Amino acid sequence: MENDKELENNDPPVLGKWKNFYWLLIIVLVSLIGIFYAITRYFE
Amino acid sequence: MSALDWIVLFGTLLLIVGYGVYKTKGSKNIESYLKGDNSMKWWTIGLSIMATQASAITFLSTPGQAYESGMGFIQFYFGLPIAMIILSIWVLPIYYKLKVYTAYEYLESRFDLKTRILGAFLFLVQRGLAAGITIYAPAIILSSILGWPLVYTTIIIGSLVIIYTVSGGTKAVSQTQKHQMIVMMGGMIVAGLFVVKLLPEDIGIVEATKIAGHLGKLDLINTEVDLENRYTLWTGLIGGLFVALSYFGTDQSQVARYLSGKTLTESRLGLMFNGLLKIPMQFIILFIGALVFVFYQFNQAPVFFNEAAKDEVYLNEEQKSKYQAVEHEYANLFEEKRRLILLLSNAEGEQIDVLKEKITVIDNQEDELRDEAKTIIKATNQDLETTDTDYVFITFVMENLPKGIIGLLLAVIFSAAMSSTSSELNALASTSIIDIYKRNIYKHGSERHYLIASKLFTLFWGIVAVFFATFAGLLDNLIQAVNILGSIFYGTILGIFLTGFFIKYIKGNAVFFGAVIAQIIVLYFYFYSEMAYLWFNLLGCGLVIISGFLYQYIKNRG
Repeated sequence: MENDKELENNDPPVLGKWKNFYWLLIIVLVSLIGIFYAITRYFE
Repeated sequence: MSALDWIVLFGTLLLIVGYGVYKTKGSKNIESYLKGDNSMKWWTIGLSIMATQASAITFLSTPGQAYESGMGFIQFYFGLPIAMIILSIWVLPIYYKLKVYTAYEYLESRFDLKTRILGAFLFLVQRGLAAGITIYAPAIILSSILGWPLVYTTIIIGSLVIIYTVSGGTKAVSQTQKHQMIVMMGGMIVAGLFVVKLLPEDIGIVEATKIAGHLGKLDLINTEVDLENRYTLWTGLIGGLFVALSYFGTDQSQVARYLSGKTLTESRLGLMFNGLLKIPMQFIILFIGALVFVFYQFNQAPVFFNEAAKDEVYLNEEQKSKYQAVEHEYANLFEEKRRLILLLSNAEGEQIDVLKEKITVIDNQEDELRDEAKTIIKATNQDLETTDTDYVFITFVMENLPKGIIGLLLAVIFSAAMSSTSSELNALASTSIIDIYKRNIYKHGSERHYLIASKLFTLFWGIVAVFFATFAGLLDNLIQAVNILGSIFYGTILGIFLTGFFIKYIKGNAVFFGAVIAQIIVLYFYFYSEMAYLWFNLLGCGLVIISGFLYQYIKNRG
């Protein structure tokens, strides 16, 4: 377990060159919905 | 099944279980047994979270769903990444700060003991039943395919899980899940490659995708606002968000996975890993289902996918001749449809619509024949199940894949069943020992006493799950049964937790009263309305907050 200072730190988790994982997740989700929507419309 | 398949199947399972037991033996206290000494890295946490959620039902039912109704089920997972972010920012730090073993411990520090017990009780009921279904789902299908009595398959899955979960606790669960997850994804990718390979020579992945798309299997997004439709963009984003918040934030089988993290950051990264990969993983599984659908446009599909039901019909001479007549007509339609589908794979412009219209006519005739076959099955034996969605993928595997690969795919299904069951048993034991036994029944035992008690509780829940799995009847569609069961209780549990995290105004008595009222109303809606089950999460959660707020307001004024 870790100290209280680290627990109060609510900055996004960082891994390698991805400085902000939260935004990465949102971007991936929106892109996937966009791609899926385009596929659905293409075959309508 | 060939000898090679048996070797691959049991070799894979025994290796994973044996290695898991060997690597994790010798827990000395419950901290080590229930929290894995807080030693897990983010990738182990991430894989463990994914393996816990991916049960055998995922691999049996999901491709069948795509085969039958298209890939729209993917929308169910859209709320998941958002839930991962919310949990990472607001929930994880609280759990870490309080150094809890279970999520329900938090409820006592925020509200009171009775709310903690209510939360733990709702979890034990819901997850105890679900653990039975998690074993039962593959057991019934495998027993039908291997020709074994249900009790054998149930006991094999159950006892393998019990061995390593009792022996190594949380560490063994996470350790084995890492390898099980590799087998699951590897096996599914191999299956996908084989479906494409088995298509006719002039049909590649592009043509197959076109055919699936033109025949409505790639309708991924539905933007309609319809409360009775289970899978739309809105049920996925809103209902799915609440399911995911509840499942990952308050269900001990998931909370235990990330509480075993080395640091808060490792746990958060584990959740992000899940948020990033879950939708692509489900997409792959659904897409394989759509490809299996295309495969059966060029290869005669059985009228009904559950062979065991057909075999029973064949024992009755009168019903057999009726069934054979249906099969004959079905085969005749197939030739004509195959010809049209080949044309469709290269069609352009208006030609596509003309062909689609002709194919739809044949599809309708096929549906009528399938209904007729189901009527014959019911007439033969009222107890036979007439839903065959869960049998589509496994039938394809057993009848078309080469030796060795069949064993691998069966190992995927067994591994999936074992990975989710082990997390469930581990979580049921943690909740029983921490929230019920240690807190209320026997407060001053030694470390050794609680360690032995934890192992006995794991064993107890394993036996309950096997017992329930042996006696559960075949439900309409297994994956939906588990999700529906989850949604009935999850909303209330989530409401309690969200109140705890975000609404300081509401205190213990109010939230307890609100939760009881909410659960009664959700059960009423389940039994007496047509509401899509994903909305139960929102309803239950909202009702806890509103009635809790009202109770508190009245109490404060009085």
